[in-house]
Amino acid sequence: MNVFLTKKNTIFPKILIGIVIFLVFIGILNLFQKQFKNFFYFVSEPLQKNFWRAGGNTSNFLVSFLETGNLTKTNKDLNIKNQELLQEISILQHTKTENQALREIISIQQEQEFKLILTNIIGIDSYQDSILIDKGSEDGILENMPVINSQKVLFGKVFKVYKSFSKVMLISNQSNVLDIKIQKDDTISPPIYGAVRGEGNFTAILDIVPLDREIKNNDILITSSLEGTFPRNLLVGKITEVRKDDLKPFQTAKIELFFNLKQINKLFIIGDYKVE
Amino acid sequence: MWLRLLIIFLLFGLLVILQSSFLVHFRIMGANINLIFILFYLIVFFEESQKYIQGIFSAIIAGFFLDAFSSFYFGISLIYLLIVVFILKYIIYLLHQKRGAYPIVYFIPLFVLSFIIYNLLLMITIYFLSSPHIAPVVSLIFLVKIVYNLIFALFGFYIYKSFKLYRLKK
Repeated sequence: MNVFLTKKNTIFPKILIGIVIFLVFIGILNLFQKQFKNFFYFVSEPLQKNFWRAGGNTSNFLVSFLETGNLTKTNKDLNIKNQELLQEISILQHTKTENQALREIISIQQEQEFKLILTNIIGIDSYQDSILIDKGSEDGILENMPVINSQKVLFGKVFKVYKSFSKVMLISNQSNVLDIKIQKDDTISPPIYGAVRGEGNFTAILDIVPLDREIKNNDILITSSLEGTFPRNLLVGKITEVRKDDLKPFQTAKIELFFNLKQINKLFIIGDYKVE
Repeated sequence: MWLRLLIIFLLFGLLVILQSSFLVHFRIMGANINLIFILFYLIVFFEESQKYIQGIFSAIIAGFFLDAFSSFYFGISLIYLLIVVFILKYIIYLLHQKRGAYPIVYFIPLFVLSFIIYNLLLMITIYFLSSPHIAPVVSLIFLVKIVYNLIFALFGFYIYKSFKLYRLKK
């Protein structure tokens, strides 16, 4: 009579019920994903902000301890100064090459008219090269808004918006491809364009630069605004190693991205950029 | 038992916050520490090979928190950690039959193996969900990541082991 109620036969329905409950649980979590995640970020925000600050301070202390004296501060100041100067060079070169006074004025006015929204970084997702910021849909944040720092260094774009928080995909994210222009001293020859491709782990490479165009180490990469997501002339990075292979149609290069998450916690979201 | 599960839950909650905000400042060559994975591994490794409750509970809670603080869908890390639990439990069961102890010579290769499996599964997911290309698994950064995490896991191993011995003496 009880031949079908062996131990083996009772375990199977239990496992099946367990799997069904598990799948329903996952389904509900994903159905209300935005609300759940916003709730978690909201609850953990005070701790995260303090940990972020403490981590930054400890890291800076360790670096300064290792490098002795005021080297870190000097380096940080020089980096900021350098980025400011690079930005100035970028604007000057742009002005020189355009040779259209009226257009330049309009362009400068457009840059000044950006509505910048100040935000704080509160966390990083290292697996997906993304950062969590403390502004969300209730602050007017929308997907694809560019994110920069005060020196106009490009960090990335908003890709997920919650009620009070947003996720920013860094330009080093593996699914990110960004059109750039290579800044050259030579203003006569046509500009060199390429694409920066995210490689993950906060690194990226320069790709699809035609073989016949000359690029070298320390060339500065700025946004070209061709893809329409980012305004032009934002600082991206600099070339550190050119890789030329005659068998390939394009040359590539190793680059150093300008964004530095260790030395910063305040960023700006460009709130009203319109494609030029 | 319930108290232990509650402590595990709170520990994972605290570690995920620590991991996404404090520890990210201590990356080496882009490699970060995954404390959640280390604690999860320690719990599975030190749990008796015939028992599953703590291991499965840890996988669910660790996966849940990892998914909540990542850009992934809920369930991805959770399922991958469950896969790691079953693989680990099976290997530990086989090893346990031979030796009956938890020596460090088992700990290190099993940690590396489970870390690779988990990261490989995540990389495949990123490839299918968002990225048009996949980063090489055997890269310098990935090797640094394994070594960096292994150092912290070894600290955890001795702390967990002495804690377990202290409890047994009591």
